[in-house]
Amino acid sequence: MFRIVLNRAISAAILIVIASVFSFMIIAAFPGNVAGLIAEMRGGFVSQEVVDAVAEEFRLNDPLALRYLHWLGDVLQGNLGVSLRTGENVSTAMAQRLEPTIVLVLGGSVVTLLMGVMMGFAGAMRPNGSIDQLIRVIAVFNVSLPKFFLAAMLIYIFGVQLQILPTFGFRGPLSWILPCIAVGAVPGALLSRLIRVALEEAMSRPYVITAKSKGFGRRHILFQDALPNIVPVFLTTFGMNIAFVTQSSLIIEPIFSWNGIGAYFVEAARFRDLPVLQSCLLMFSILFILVNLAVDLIVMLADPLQRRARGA
Amino acid sequence: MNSTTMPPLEVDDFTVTLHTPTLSVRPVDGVSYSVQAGEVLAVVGESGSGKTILNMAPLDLLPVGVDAEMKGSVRFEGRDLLNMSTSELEAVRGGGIGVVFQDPLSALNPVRKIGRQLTEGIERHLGLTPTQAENRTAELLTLVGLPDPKSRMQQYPHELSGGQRQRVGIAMGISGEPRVLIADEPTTALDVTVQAQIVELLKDLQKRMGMAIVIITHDFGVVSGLADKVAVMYAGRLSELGSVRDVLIDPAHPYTRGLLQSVPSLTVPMDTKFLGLPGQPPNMAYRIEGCAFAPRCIEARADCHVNRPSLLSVPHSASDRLAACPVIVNQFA
Ligand SMILES: Nc1ncnc2c1ncn2[C@@H]1O[C@H](COP(=O)(O)OP(=O)(O)OP(=O)(O)O)[C@@H](O)[C@H]1O
Ligand SMILES: [Mg+2]
Repeated sequence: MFRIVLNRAISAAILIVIASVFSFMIIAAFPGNVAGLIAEMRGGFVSQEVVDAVAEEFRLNDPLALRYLHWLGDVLQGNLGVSLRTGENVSTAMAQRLEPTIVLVLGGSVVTLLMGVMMGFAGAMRPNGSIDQLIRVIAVFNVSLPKFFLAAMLIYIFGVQLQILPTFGFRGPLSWILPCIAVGAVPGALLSRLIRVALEEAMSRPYVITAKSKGFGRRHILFQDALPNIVPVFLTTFGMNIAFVTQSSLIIEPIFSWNGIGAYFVEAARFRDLPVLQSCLLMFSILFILVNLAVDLIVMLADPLQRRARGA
Repeated sequence: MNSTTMPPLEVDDFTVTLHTPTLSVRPVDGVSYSVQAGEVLAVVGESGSGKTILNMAPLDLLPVGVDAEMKGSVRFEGRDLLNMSTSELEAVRGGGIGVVFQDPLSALNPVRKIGRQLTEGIERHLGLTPTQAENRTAELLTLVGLPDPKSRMQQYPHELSGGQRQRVGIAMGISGEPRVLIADEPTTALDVTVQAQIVELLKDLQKRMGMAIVIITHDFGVVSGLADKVAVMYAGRLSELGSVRDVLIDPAHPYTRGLLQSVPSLTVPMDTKFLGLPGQPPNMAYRIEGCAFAPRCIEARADCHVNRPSLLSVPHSASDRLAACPVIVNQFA
């Protein structure tokens, strides 16, 4: 068991190194004259001397490998550089913007979970019944909807027409509701379809006939026999959905005027604020990899078959 | 008739038609028999002859997606299973009628502990508290020959051997203290030495609990070792029904004779290929006129291909015995 955990941790570490290389390459492989661009963004008169000074400051003339190691050393010490646009320290700025993003990712995951589980089970209770049909329509509708459109609809309905929920800014739990729904609805719909299909598949297994032979009805079998069998699929998909939710923060945070890391990322991309872009990319990649690692390990611990298959 | 003399299981002119999107087949066609309290009936016949459908369809235990239309009646203690509501049938399943399946690995839920899979049925049918049900489960596991039951109950199915799993399957089948136990080829998935142990176990349990057993098998060793009566099925129909003594020692129906001749020895398990019988069983998707076995039968007359034979009493048998073959029955007379 310990060896498996170690193996998975090592491969996650390798992935993180690869992700760091890609993040690093954003500046290294940026097309055109990076030094000139940075000098321009800082404003003032751009002379050749200024450009050369910038190149010196960002070590743009050093060999690539050396630059990477330097950068990595800085990152490991928590130094992510300085924003070209605002001159802020990137680490400090990110720390300040962490809270809204954490709320969005956790809240969105809760919405995903609630929607996925409730709709998935409701559909599986009576396959092809009216509830199942309705849920299927909702799911298809949701999945095919662009995220910003869903967000706009939520804002219109709850903020403008009903005026019951705040639609602007990160201002306490009430203001969390709409963004979390906007972020969690699509993965929730996907998860509900997956749960529904996985339950259906589990309900066609021979052990279900055994459970029936003991006198149990569909509801009992669904929860006692089918559910434990779909846990690994469920956790894996749910983990992937956390990644989707994280990625949605890029779109949803600006719409609801949340000052999170997603909005920071978008802003940095718009203004070609390379150090910020680089840092956000690195953070998101690491988050992705760690969530996946956590899910894999949880799945392994939760599934008695895998525990044996992997020689625990 | 009161419940002490009424046979616990009476099957009367039972017919099953399976409908699939493309075609309909009739794997059970006008079958009648009864099983007395404490009696063991073996159902034998080639693969595909309808043995499983005959026993599982009335309990609504067919795989999902199989749409079975049933006619006739299957009475359990006088009540027709075919007319029961879902909840009535759920009360019978695992209570009055227990079931043991062929493949104990797929029949058990792979991700649930064995203890829980047993206690839930016991709680449901015997009305015991969880603690009482756990004690009862431990007793049951000991009864079916699994020592150290408390630690067994903490294990998952994959942590047991095939024979141990089938002992769990049998414990599950008898856990509701049924009056009738249906066992569909309970030894087929096991190796030969284990098969013998499982047969011994069933015999022992049957004596202790006095329940009736319907056992589906390909193995004439199982028939002679366990059963009182044999029903021979061919293409969804009963071709012969009688005591083990009569049917195995002096088979009447040409199909039963062919079946027995294809077995080298009564104690050796029989393969599903019947070497002694030339030809193939008929396709049950088509309506069969006359005797279903006629095309393969060395005794067949012109009449056999036209009129469907009914079960006739075979003279000079040690006990009541029926065979669906007028040609042979006339020879016996
Ligand atoms: N899922 C199914 N869909 C359609 N037809 C089926 C299905 N299962 C069984 N049948 C039909 O019913 C017939 C009888 O099947 P059954 O399983 O009762 O045979 P059996 O006597 O139990 O065979 P075996 O000894 O192989 O278990 C088969 O020949 C087949 O034509
Ligand atoms: Mg069968």
